[in-house]
Amino acid sequence: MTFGFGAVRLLDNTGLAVPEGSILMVTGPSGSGKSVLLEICAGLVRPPQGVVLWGDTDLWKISPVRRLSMRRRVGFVFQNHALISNLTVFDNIALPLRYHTGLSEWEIREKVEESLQKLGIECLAAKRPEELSMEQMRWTAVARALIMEPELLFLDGPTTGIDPIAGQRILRLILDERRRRTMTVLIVSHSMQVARTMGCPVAVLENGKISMMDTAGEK
Amino acid sequence: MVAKGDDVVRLFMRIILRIGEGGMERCRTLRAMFELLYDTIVALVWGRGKRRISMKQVMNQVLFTGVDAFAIISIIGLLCGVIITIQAMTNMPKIGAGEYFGTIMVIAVIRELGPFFTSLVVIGRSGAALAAYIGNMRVSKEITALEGMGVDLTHFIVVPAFVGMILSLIALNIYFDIIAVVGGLLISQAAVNVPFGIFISRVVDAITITDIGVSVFKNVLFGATIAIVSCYHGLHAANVRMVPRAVFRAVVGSIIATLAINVALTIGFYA
Repeated sequence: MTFGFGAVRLLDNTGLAVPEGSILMVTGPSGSGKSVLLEICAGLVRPPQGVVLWGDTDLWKISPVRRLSMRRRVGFVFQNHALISNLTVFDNIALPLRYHTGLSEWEIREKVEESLQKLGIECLAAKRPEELSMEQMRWTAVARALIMEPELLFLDGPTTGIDPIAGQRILRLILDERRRRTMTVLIVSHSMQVARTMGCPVAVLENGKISMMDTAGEK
Repeated sequence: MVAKGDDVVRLFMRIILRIGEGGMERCRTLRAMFELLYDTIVALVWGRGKRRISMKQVMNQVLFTGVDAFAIISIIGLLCGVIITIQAMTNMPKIGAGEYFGTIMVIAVIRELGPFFTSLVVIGRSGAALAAYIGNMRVSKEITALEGMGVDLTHFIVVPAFVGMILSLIALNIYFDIIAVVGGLLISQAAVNVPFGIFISRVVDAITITDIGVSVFKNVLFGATIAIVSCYHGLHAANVRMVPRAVFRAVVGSIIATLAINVALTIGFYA
């Protein structure tokens, strides 16, 4: 795939493959295009050149309606959380359920409360995003991403800007979730600690090209 | 001399080209707005099964657009009624048309000024706020997050704004009309000393079902236009710098569209 802004090429005819059920972390210098790469892989940004395949399906060759419905298989945690500002924490987490499932309001309540308890943020249910700390927003974003039990999980800087212990708890929660069911995880982070905790290979994005780093940390 | 002539031709061609490009761009924007309107109506009428319209979102829109605007509508409506009544009652007898102030009140307030002033207030308050809110949602990636969750933006954002805006505009316009008549009544009692019964009977006699129908129809079209134009510009604010521009475009676009619709309807129903 190729992607850029004006004359700047963030991704220069490069590619990335993540086997089903595996975890991969992408790292690289600031401004190298890691977040854009993640958004392209999640089908949120269309690359002007190249293909995005989920299994055998080319994401940009299917109808917008089908693409929209395929996105229910995806969880995405944004670096800035992107919580819907006029919804409470509860409603933010419940949104995909309300939108994609035929669950009754009572069932949705039960499911969201269970998720809030699991993450230890039940006291935040009635709060709005502007009332939350960075860490609380991150937990909410993670809860929202996991509520639909996604097959694909995209994490953009999951530990950035929060204390290391909370960061480790988030990563362990995702590992636990992955142990329960098949989930492919693509992470973008600056921290090699994330790769160590997740025990995953690391790809480096630099000058528009992706290269795999071996386990010793050498390119 | 020849070179100078060529320069003029080149300059002229460049101006024509620029105008043409601008026109084409506006045509594309207009087409995209009609597409958004079509999608909104489809989502509203044939809202797919589980994807229920969020009544909470609609109520929020009604609360902000309608309820919160009652104070400003009261002031404008009252002043409008006062001005029209004073002008009608002091000038119309001079041309021997003193009997028709009720008709003037209905023509001015219920047919024209009510829907238009109400829509202006809604454009300035809610249309601008809606464009800014959606623009900020785009900038803070809330829109991307919604897309990422597979949420249909038309259904989640535009439909509640569309419904809320139309309902609010109808309610505000009825309220505006009542307040304007009350304003006229008060000033007619205080300044021109027209009896209460005569004032009311002349206004009521002058109102026809068509006036009320056209007024409500205008509100529906104005509300739909403001919602679509504001949502469209908000959704197309690509970055922080574009948000104020989106607001400006939403306000100007809504005013122009509302005026154009008003003229078309007035010609259609009354000309």
